[in-house]
Amino acid sequence: MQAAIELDNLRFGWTAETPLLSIERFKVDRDERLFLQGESGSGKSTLLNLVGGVLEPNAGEIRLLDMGLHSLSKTRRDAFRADHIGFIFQMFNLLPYLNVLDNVTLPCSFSRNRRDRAVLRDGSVEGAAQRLLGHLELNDPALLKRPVTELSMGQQQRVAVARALIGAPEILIADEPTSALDVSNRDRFISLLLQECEVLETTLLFVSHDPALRSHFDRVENLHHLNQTEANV
Amino acid sequence: MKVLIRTLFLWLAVFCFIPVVQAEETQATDQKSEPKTEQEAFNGEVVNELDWEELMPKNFTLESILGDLDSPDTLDDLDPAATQYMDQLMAALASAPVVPEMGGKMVKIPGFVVPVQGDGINVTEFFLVPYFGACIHVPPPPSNQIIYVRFEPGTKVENLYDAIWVTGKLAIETTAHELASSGYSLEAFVIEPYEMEYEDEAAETEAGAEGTPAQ
Amino acid sequence: MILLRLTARSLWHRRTTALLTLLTIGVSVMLLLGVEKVRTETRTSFANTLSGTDLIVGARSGQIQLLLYSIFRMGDATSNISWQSYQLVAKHRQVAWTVPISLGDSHKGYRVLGTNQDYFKHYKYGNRIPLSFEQGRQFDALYDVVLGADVAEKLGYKLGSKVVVAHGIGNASFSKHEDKPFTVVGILERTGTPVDQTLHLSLEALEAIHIDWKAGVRIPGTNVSAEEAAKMQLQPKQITAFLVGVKSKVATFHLQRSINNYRKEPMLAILPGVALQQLWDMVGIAEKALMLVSALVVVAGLVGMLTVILTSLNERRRELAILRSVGARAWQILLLLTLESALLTLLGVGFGILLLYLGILLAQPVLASQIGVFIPLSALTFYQWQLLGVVVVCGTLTGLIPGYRAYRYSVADGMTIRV
Repeated sequence: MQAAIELDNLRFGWTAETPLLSIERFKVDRDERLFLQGESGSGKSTLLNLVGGVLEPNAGEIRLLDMGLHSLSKTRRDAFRADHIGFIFQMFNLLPYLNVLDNVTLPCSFSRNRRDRAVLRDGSVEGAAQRLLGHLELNDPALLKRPVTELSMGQQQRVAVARALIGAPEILIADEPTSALDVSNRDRFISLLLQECEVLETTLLFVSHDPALRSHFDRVENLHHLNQTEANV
Repeated sequence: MKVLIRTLFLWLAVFCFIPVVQAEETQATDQKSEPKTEQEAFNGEVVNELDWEELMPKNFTLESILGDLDSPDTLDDLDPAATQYMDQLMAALASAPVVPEMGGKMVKIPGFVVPVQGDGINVTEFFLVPYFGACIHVPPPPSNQIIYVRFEPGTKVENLYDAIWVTGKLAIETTAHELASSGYSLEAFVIEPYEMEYEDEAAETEAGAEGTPAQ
Repeated sequence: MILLRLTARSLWHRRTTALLTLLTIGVSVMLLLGVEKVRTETRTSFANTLSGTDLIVGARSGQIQLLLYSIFRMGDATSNISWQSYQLVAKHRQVAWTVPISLGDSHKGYRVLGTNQDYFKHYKYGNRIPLSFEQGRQFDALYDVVLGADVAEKLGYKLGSKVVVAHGIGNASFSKHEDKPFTVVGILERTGTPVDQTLHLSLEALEAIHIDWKAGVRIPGTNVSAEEAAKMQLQPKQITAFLVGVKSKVATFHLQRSINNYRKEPMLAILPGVALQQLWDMVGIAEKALMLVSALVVVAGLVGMLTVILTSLNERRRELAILRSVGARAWQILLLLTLESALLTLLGVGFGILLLYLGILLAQPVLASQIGVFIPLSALTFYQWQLLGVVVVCGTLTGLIPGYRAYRYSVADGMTIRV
């Protein structure tokens, strides 16, 4: 099976003298769901930016779906990210001036690939959005037209999931998505997320500092162990 | 008074003597000896670039106007004869004869604009005169050196100091009153600005030096 | 297009600020267009006031001054010309027609013009349009008066109304002269020129009003009654100015010169077209200054918009990061901000046009009655559209500044923002 994410001899530092990240080897297979534990300041945000193609490493290679990011121009990387990766952040995932439906369908406006896949699967982009939201227990049709500011935190995060998964991108990267939720919502959120990823065969890279969440995942890694910079070693 | 008569004399010299001198050089009005003349065409008709003196009959000279009157210099300024002389001179200039053959010709002639009718932006009817100031502070030219131009689309007149080229069909209009005086009118088709290089000449002409703008 | 939708929605979300920006740009555009419109309409209005007259002759003063008081009823004549001199010119062999006019009086703020019946025959305006009567006819009897359209409308006069025309101020202090009332026999059609604000009488009638004045102090006990005045010698001795039509156009200049050089009386003959051009030359500098000022006001408006967008940029970094994360390219971020600028400018311009027409609607009657300039609600000229085009282009280009900033932010921040 093709690897989803592969990192080889990755080195990154804001300056040459102070390397922030040094990872010899890191691989995530397709359809794998990985929990990556990392404290704040451990460089996890930087790592996500690197994997997302927003930052360029000082040395080493990043391959996504067997495509080396270094071989793509900035714009091409943007396009690649649009087509193949979905993102969820800790909070403020949604554009405040769009309603729920428009927020969810946003990636389809920037990626032809994802739009075609959504249409193929559900007949229309709106249909895809509704189905996803339904799976995430956001069934109320009136909800679709509501401005996102009226939603609770838990609802917002679930909408973010729907947006990240619409058009079935191969990779989903979640950066502390539950840290702003209370405990009861947290577990429910993760179950729904994992459930949906299974259905869509999405590779999930779930990054968080909270070790209590490890139990949900089959594979667990620690960034501190992966990162071989002088500070760690 | 003497200064005035002298100035007037000079104007007439400009209009009358130089063409007299050039009479041998200039042949039929169709043919031009000046090398720079291009024969343009407008709507199939050949356009003749015109000099202002071509609008005056050959026999319209100072002598013919003045006749037997004494030379102005011998007259005292306050002499009533001087006044009479002036009046007769002005009268002659006011109804100067035209060249009948010019009627119907398609011509291109440069000059200055004296607006008559317009809507505030475009001027649709105006006088075309050979030098600037004909309406303000210098003596007006003889009536055969004034063309009444009609231009339907109208032209913007930014300021009166700028000379223009007018291309159009000349006509001779005779007012059927007891005077039977005639004047030139022109139905214009093209109006263009006059090029910069000639502006110095135009200024000189205004000062009463030599040459008409077309030269 | 998604970027346009996002821009529109984003602006709507921030509509209060957006509205203020629109107002700023709108007002500045209104000023820019307004100055240009007043400039061109004033010229048109003035140029359309008189047509088909070859010369205007008055007592020697300045060209522009003569034009202004004789035709536009602005200012006053320095002195008058004698009837004899006028007759001399009128009989000149080159003269086809003349129209004498006498000014100097007013009635409730409207000018009174003394003339003869040739006025109605030869006075033309616009594109050689002659005067026509909406009701009635020319004056004929001594105490007949013909009103311009505005005078009749504003003062509520109809055919047969009695008008007390008195020297100077008005009715109040001249109650004794109610014995010489005038009768309205004609009301002219609207012309859009100062003719609308004028009362027209015969020259003789003007003399009749002034008989008591000419005599100086009225001798107690003797009033000159209307009938008595009618029997007196009413041939005017002076007139203010006269209009001239020549027989042969090319003789205009020479006639002008003869009049100007007439030794027995200082007179000035002008070509109306030339005098008007001189007026514009004089006013031209002020016009250019006004245009410059209004252009600067537009710049100020655009700078205001720039400030608003730049300030909002900081709060919108999160928004931009989200867009990046859902697949927006960096150049699309740049475009987004530029589009916002362009949209705001476009809407501002539209708003400005609206304000302009509103302004014209409100100011129209005031301008017409005060300075005799009629500004119609006409469409924008090509030049004005060009001006607006330049404004929109400038506004769009202004958007490149925050656009570039946003582009840099999005590249630097990536998808992770310090919340």
